[in-house]
Amino acid sequence: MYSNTKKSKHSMSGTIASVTIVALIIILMWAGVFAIYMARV
Amino acid sequence: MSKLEEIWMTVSVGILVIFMVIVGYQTYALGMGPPSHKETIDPQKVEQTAPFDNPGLIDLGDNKYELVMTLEAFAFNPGNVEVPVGAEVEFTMTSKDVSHGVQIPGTNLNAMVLPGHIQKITQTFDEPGEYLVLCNEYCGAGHQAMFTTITVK
Amino acid sequence: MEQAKNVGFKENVLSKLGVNPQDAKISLTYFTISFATLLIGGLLGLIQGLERAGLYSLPGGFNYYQVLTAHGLLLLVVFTATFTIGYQLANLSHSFNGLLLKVRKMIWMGIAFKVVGVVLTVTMIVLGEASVLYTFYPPLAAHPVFYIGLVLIVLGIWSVDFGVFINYRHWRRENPGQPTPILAFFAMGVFVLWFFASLGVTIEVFMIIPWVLGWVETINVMVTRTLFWWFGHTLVNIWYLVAISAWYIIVPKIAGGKHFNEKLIRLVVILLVVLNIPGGFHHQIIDPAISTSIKFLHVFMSLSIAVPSLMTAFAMFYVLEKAGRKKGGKGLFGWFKKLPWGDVRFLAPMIAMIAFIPGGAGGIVNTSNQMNQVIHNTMWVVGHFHVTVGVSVVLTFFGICYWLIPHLSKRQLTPKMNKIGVIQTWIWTIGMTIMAGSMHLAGLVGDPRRTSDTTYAGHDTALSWLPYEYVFATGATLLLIGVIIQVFAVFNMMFFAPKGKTEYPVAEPEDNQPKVPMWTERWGLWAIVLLAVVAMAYVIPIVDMIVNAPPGSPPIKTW
Repeated sequence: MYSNTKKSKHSMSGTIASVTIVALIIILMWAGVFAIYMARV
Repeated sequence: MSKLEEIWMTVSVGILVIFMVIVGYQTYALGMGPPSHKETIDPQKVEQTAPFDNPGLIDLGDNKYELVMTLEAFAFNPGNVEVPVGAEVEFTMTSKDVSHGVQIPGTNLNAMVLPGHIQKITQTFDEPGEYLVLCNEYCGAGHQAMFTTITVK
Repeated sequence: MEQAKNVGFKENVLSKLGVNPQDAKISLTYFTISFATLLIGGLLGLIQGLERAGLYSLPGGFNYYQVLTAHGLLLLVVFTATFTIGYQLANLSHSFNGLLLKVRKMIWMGIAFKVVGVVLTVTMIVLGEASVLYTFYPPLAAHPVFYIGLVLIVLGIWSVDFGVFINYRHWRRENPGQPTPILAFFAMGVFVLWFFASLGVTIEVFMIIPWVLGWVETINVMVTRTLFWWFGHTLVNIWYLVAISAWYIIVPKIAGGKHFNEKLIRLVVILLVVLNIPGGFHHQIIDPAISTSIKFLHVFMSLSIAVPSLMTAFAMFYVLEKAGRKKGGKGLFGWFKKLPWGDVRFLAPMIAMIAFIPGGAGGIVNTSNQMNQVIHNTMWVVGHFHVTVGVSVVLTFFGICYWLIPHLSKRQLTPKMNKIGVIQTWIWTIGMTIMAGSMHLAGLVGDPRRTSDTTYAGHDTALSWLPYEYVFATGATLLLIGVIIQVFAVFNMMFFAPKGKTEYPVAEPEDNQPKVPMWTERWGLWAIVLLAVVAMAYVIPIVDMIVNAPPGSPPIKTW
């Protein structure tokens, strides 16, 4: 059980990096349209 | 759920909450909510009902205007309106037949205009020019011909 | 002991069962209808792309809006729906070791209803009696037969729905204390959501029929519009739920991994089913007659649908990273390169998943209250659903074809066909990227959707959209090539590929997983929660729309 947790901890860096990219895409796309909205107010 | 997944869910839901706080603040504190006017009208008696019995631009003073406008397949009435630079125009609109949408590309003016309902949206025209006003909800065979302009000078 | 028995049973299901030949016939019939429809719908899509860019004009007697109505209806209501049914029934047959005899009868009846319904509906469109688009908003009034066709289509779906519910109950009774196999659980989610989604449009159509027949004079425009979106948006999320059944359960197996924690998968399914219907309100953010506070409540309700998808994003990367590392992938992204990119069964759904990142993010933008004014009814929205439905859903469906169809027809996926599939996937991906990408950009500068010609007497603003529209047309051309290859592949694998056995790739759970909680199977409870969420979302606005209704609208034909 212990080794299992340890192993998965070791190999999750790609998942963290990937979901961070997902978060960045969400933020960028939202911020982009928000900026257009504000520029037109 | 693993620790990491919990962190991810907290962060990502947190991002959604921040989005909501921003648009919520604008809606409630700054009055920037989407067009949501609630008055109604008999869609078959638009021409007999004020103010749509006399559509046109009304000067409210202080460079403020009300534009009373009817939409029908496939025209805006009145069309080709002229306002001075910096005019704040409140559009008061309804439809005489089917669902229409009014949009001025390059601005935030975008609203559904449905039969039986009066819709209002305000736009300030700071830049001079000829603005395209178009119908953006399919309204029939001539939908692509339903447009007019607002000239700001 | 209980645990061991459970695992033993599952392995049995995974390895020994396949789709019963009787059920295979059903699924293949659905796929035949599905891909014949795709061919027509895809061709109509290209015609629109060309006409809009001013490169082609339809022969006399036909017009853009008629073609657009047919394109939307055929692809959104026929192609995806029939594929979904064929695929979900195969999953059920595989999981339950064959469907019940009476359920098969109900499903064949469903096919009959659906075919008759589609023929009636399409005939009216072709005759020019129903150019009302996918949304058929009253007071646009089509020929009564158009709506009768829609009723038959819904009846066709309900026959399958009830068949699935009966089969599910039967299996639960025969296997007390056992959780249903995960693919069957997904199928229940799909059909429960489908049933409740179709209630909205059914009520709407039953308001419309007496009105177009002249039995009542007027109709409540806001109520019909709201009931439409109860169904209209949920429908695409049903296709999405179907797609993620493959992402969670099929893709990991093909990638050489195990599926994610089953309890969390089931939680995602339940959340998607109970939260989904109110999402339709974000199509009405700039409508009159709905107060800003109700609209803001729906910003919250629509954004909540993103939560299970955020869980899915994590789960998929987790599963794929594990699979890639098992194959020796090193470093931050080494696992990514180790994934089986040359296998169309993986490549297509993988691109579909990646497309859901901008697709889902775009959805969050659309529902963000006043920001909707920037994009409402512009080409941005068209770009958005060509990414979400056109890639995330459709490319997953295409990927499924390459193992499911040969499995059902007892044939093989040859290396050559795999290669054709890989090429098809890339053509589709490139076509959609340039088409949907340019649609998003054109929308941001104001290009309206659903308009045959956007030159507006040569206004400067309108002319600035033309370059984008040439790009739409280029993308649409690639997509039609993609459609033709896909339809060829499907019918080749159905009738001509070499005989043989094809694996049904169902992933297994990781080792040492906890027992699947039985509370997830309480579909009665989930239905009640779904109805409670719908009540929260709809009771106040709909009562308001009825009590404070203006005099209604008579039927109008403007085409």
